[in-house]
Amino acid sequence: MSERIPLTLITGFLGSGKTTLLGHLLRDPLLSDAVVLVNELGEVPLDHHLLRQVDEKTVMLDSGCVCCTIRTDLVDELRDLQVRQYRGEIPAFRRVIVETTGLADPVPVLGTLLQDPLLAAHYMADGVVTTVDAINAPLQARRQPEWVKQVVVADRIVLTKTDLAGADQPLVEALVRDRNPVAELLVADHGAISAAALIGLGVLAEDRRAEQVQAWLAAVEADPGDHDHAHDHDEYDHHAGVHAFALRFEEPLDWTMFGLWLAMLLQSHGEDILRVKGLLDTGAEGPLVLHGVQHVIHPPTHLAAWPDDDHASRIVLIVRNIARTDVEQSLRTFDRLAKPEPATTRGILA
Amino acid sequence: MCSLCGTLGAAAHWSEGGGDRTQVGARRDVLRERHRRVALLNRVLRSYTLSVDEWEETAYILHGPSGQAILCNDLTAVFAEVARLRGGVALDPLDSTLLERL
Repeated sequence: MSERIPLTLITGFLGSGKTTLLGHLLRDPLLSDAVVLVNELGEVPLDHHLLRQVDEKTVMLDSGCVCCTIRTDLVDELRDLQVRQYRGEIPAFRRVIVETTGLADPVPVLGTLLQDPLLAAHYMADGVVTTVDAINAPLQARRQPEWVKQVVVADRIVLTKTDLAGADQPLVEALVRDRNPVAELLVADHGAISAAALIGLGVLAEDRRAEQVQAWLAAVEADPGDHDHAHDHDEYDHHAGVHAFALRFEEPLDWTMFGLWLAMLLQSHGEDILRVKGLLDTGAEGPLVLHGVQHVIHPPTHLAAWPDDDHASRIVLIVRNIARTDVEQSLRTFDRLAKPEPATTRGILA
Repeated sequence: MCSLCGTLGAAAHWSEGGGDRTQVGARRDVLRERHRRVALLNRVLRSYTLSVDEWEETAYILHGPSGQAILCNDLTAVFAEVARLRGGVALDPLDSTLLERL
């Protein structure tokens, strides 16, 4: 398979400065060979030779959940781009930027890239960039579930309007960190930020997968907040029940049973399993790398070797209103079921 | 597409791993794993009067309590159909009753 084209998703709530950010990014030579798909040509003028408009159209799949919808507009547009590039009707492009609407759920875009066979062969998610308006974030965090989803799935979060937020900026940063301790938090100076900080993240690149998991583990472990408070209802109100935690298993996990368990967990709690990343010891030489956003689980890959001396399975989850202990106990029970009972010595000793 | 039933071949489910099915040995491993998955799945489903069979290396057949046989492409489809057969109630691996049954 030829190298897939990285697709960066730029999302963020209404008025959070997505288009202003995009306008600055498009001046960077790094994006000279990018195709830019925007939902609407808004007030902020965007100047780019491969700027195209798409209308967000979704088709719900049989499973009926929102994150498993297919963005048919993107399927059509991305397929058309491939065909036109092949025919020489448009210049060759090496990356794609998609800007969503302010109320969009970004997960269907990621799901669409996996669900459509042609898209899966030619494109790969590069990362999700979410803009957060530092002035209105506290209100949006309380009232807008779309805001929470956009923040939780981000790989980079860009705080905007910080010049107006003043002393409140640390509070907004804490608010964002509570919901997503694993994304890198950056501040835009009037929309300006280095393109290199947001583009080419390669969150699914095979050679960077272990590094990504390690970064998540470090972020969750370094986070001073208590993120395992799913039974604390005051905290639910404060954090909308979203918290991150890491699980650790010293013994190898049975992959077949793990897949069964996770598929079952996603069926029953998929809306609340916001993200999952992990290095799993399945008894092979190297670890198996797991990466998922809600129901969208990317095909896991085996690494040839562990990235460090720690060979225990480590899984980071960002969930809503689910306790760490419940998840851990459940996985341990299922895993035990897959393993043979230890041989009893009673018969021999008798 | 399957010439018998017209089912469109979908990309392998994430839980199926990344084995190369074109290699004879790898294909045998995939088949062995599918049968093992079915055995494990049946240990979970048996107390709900449900069971699963492997079907032609491409799908699973879910058997319902009143004799239904439902073709499911992958694990996600199996659990979606299990929920449908249970009146929209999904099997919850965090449910303490289910864990006790296991």
